[in-house]
Amino acid sequence: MKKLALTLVMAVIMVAAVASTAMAVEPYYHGDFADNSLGCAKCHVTHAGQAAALLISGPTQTDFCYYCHNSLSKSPYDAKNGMIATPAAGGFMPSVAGGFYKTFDFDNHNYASHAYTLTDYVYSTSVHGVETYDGDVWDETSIIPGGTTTLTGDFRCGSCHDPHKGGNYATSTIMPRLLRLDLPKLVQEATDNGGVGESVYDHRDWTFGSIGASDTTGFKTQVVTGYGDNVGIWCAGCHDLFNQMDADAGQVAVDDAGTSVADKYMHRMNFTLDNPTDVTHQSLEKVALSVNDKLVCLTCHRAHGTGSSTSDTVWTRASASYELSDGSTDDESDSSVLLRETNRDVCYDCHGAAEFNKPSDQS
Amino acid sequence: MNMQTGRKKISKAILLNLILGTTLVLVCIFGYFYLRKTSPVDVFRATVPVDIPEYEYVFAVYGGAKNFNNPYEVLVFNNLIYVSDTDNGRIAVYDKTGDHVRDIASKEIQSPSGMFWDGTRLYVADPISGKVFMLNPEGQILDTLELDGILVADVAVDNGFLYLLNNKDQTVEKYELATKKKVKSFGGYGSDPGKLYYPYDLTVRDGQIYVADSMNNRINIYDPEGELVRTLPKKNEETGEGALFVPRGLAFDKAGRLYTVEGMAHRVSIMNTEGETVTRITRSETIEDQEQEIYLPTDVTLDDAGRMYVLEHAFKRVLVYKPR
Repeated sequence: MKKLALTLVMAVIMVAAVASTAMAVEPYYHGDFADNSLGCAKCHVTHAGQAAALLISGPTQTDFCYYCHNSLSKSPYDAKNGMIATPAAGGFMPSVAGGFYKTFDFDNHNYASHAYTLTDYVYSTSVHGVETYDGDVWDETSIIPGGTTTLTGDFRCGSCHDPHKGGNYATSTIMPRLLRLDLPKLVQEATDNGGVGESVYDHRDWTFGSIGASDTTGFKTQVVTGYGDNVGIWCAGCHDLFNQMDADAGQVAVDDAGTSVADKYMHRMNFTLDNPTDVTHQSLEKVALSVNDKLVCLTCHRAHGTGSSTSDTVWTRASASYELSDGSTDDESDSSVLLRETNRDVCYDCHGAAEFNKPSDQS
Repeated sequence: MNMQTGRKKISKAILLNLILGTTLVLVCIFGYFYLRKTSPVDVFRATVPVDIPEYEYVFAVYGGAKNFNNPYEVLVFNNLIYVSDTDNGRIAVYDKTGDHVRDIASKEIQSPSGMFWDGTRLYVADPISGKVFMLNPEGQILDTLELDGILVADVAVDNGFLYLLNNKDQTVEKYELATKKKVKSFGGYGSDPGKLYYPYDLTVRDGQIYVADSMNNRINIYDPEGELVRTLPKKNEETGEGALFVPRGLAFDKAGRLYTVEGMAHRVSIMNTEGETVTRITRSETIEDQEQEIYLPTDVTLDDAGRMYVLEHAFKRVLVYKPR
């Protein structure tokens, strides 16, 4: 009996010791809100902020965010140069979302075995334009591409991210990427009982841990994230017209009655591929299907920026202007529209037959 | 006549009365402070003027023909101002009037970040190339410390040893300069005492290593063996008074006061040798009679004349102040 009691006591002590290690809280600035006014005052002022949302300084929200998120020397995320610190994976990884200034050259360098060298990164050829990086095109009167609404303010980091949703992520469903729960437009979605209701697919649907980290150890902020099945619907919070899930969406013009947008034949989105292994370059860094093999927006596009380029023969109006490496802005030139591969290679990766119709193959 | 020579003996009773009286006075004085719950030292400091540095904004230094792009540190020596302009891959050099003199740039130096001047050599941390470069003041590379797979953010040199911040592992690493061998590593991820989370700047004074542990909102002081000596600031744990918010750059003035910039409090804070904040500077230039504030400072340094230089992230410039 004494042995049993002793064993139990030892077990309790061991569990407590291990648990205290596992529960050790990672220093985490976005959850580090003091319970007094100083907590808010780190970023906000009460009456006269220098930037929108009463931010204590600017000049823009992007400048404010870049105070930390423009170098891996300052935080785990370098949104400017498209890098993530991933100690569990041995150091650093390129962000598969790309960067607003530079992006890993996914077309010409090996993502899996990359080295942390500047030469692996190229200037972004298009970006999900934020503030000063998008000239005057994307202001609050602009219609969102593929959307039925206009922006309710300049597009900025806070349009997609909520800096307050950090904190005790290890024990809850908090999204390490701090993505917003609510996007500007709610999405019409079938409910379980057959009706139609408004539903927002929030950050909890995203998947994590593509590059090792467990639930209880390691640093969950510092992993490369994969994509949940509903990420496309999340994007549709702004780009709602693109959210066409019917199988015949490309064959039958979608009725956009009630909007000023003409009816369009739409690429089918957010459906599960029958044969995902047939997709060329199917991987997180290139053509990225969702966790259950759905085709989503991020299958073909990057969220922040891309380093892939379009040739002069491929014309498309810039979806957003951006600041070029020489500091000038460009509203009109060809754009790579955040595509994950050069030219229209993302098309060929699924629609393989079309590849043989490329001009270069028609000698 | 018996002439007495003047010295009177104090009787035991009088001596006792004197001691008791003195004790009573002391008890009354300290009892007063005890009952008022105030520190006699604080009262003394409040009534007796102390030497608190004051500064007046003079002008700002901008990038020149090319705007700063993610500048990391500012350093002043040999009557020149050096700014590590990280994403432009250069160290921009200005004279004391703010005129651009030259750029230090080369294929080898890809992302100059933290800098240190030891009197003869300029040490430059380059996180992208994973090296510490040792330059002469003109910018010629004299020597290189090659590092294996780390993210070096800042560097300092003292007594034959080179200390650097490795922000991949959140550590301070100590190298013997003569052999270029690593002899020690300390710190590490976390918020416990002595641990680090995104340190920004380190400097050495009187053999002790000062590290701005930015995301833990504190300054760690280690001995040369990596043992934590103490942590700054000295603050009121109940009210939070004296706390730092994302301290980044560090510098000392001639009186030994420690200067830091608080990124999220948008100010320069100056601490005495006890770690108590003696003054804070928040103002920059005046535009149309409106005093402007410092926005998102990242570094601070001082020159021999006592001028203070504050590197400001928000408007990508160096604010220059003169002592009053």
